[in-house]
Amino acid sequence: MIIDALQAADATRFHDHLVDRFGIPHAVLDDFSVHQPGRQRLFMMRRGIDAPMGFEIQAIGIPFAYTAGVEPRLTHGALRLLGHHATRNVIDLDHADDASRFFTRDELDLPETLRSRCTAPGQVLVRYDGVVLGLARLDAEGRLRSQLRKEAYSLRAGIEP
Amino acid sequence: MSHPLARYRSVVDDWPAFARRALEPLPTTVWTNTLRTDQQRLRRWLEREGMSATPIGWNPGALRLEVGAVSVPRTLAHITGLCHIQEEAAMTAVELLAPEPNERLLELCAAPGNKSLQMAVRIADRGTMVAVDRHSQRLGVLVRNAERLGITSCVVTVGDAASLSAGIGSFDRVLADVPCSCEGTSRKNAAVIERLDRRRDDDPGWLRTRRVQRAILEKAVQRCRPGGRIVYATCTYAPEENEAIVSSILDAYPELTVIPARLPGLTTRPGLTSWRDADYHPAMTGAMRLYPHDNDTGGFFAAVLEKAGSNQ
Repeated sequence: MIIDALQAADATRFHDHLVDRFGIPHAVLDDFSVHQPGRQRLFMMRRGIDAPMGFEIQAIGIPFAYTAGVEPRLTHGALRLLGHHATRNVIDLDHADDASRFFTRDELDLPETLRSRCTAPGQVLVRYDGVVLGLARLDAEGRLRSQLRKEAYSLRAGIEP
Repeated sequence: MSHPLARYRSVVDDWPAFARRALEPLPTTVWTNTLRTDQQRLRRWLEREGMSATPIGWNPGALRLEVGAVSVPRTLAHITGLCHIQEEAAMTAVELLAPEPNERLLELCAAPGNKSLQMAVRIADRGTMVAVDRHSQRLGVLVRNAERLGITSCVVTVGDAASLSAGIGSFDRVLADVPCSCEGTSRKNAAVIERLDRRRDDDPGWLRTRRVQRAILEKAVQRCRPGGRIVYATCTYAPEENEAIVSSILDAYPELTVIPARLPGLTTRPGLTSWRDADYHPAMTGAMRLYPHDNDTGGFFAAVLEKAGSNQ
């Protein structure tokens, strides 16, 4: 694509989701601008980037969210970048083995103590040792199912994606 | 049978050590993604997966690994973007360029993008990192790694570095990590050695490579703003691709000064001022030659140039 001017995309519903669901402060999101180079994905980049115009650009910043679907769907890259600011609907795993199992998409049964910052079943961010592992879905019974994309799971499991 | 790198016997001080080490397997090295973690936590994560990690003295944040049953790309540390695999010798170019936050940076011939990523981390992801390469597909690797590492300051641009137009603007620092004969990668790429066996000094392909190298360095100089810094780097030992190219540019651009390319804790050799029948610019002693037996790395060459003027 040749970019002549960067058009900011409307990322309101994704920002609202990050703020409402995960308690990520607006101030953190304000550090980044969001643009839409194609139809399917939004990209986020550090505000103030001085990009060359009139050149064939393959990418600026990193994928932020998918435009399709009713529920806001953010990329794992964006969530790993922003997730350490999350204050609710976040699970901090306390065993390395559980972190490893998250990456092989094993279902985890979580004790109440690990769910103390979850407001409702649904999307949660999973961290271990202060590092964001990715997105998961927590059900009402406390079962955690990884929503890692196939590539990351496959890499970990040692199989071809 | 002669050693494939025997043409350098006269310029290497300890030829037997060089010759032996240049054909041994290369250690695996990574740098810490300081946007996301620190070296201590990275070591903890790697060691938990059976790897022994030793800090690399000259480069804070870099680790040399004894790889266990799990390969580095399959570790949680790598998947979650706590580290990035890069050959130790290749890490030197960005350290010499020494980019700072809020600067506008350019890497020519950037794919697969390891040095662009290293630069973006070094500036704390604050500034603009423009990565240019002709190979769109190889640039895809950079984009995927930027996402894994959480780097948002990269602009990935498809273009020919040797004919880059002025419209791209000027930059505080430019890295010209040019295509080369890759002799210094012999420890990880046996095909390089096979190619060397067949290469003649007047090989037309090699002459063409050297013309391209000069054209790329010239673009780097033109795109660097006054007061800015340029690093010219190759992973080869050939003076024809190193000192000869930089000398030629120094003759053409008197506003350039060679800054000594030295990194405390890393054993390096000065650039050559002559080779066979050729004499090079005396300032080439300020360039850096990295030999495999000195630090257990690949081979590398770098020259640091500063452009006269003020960047204010």
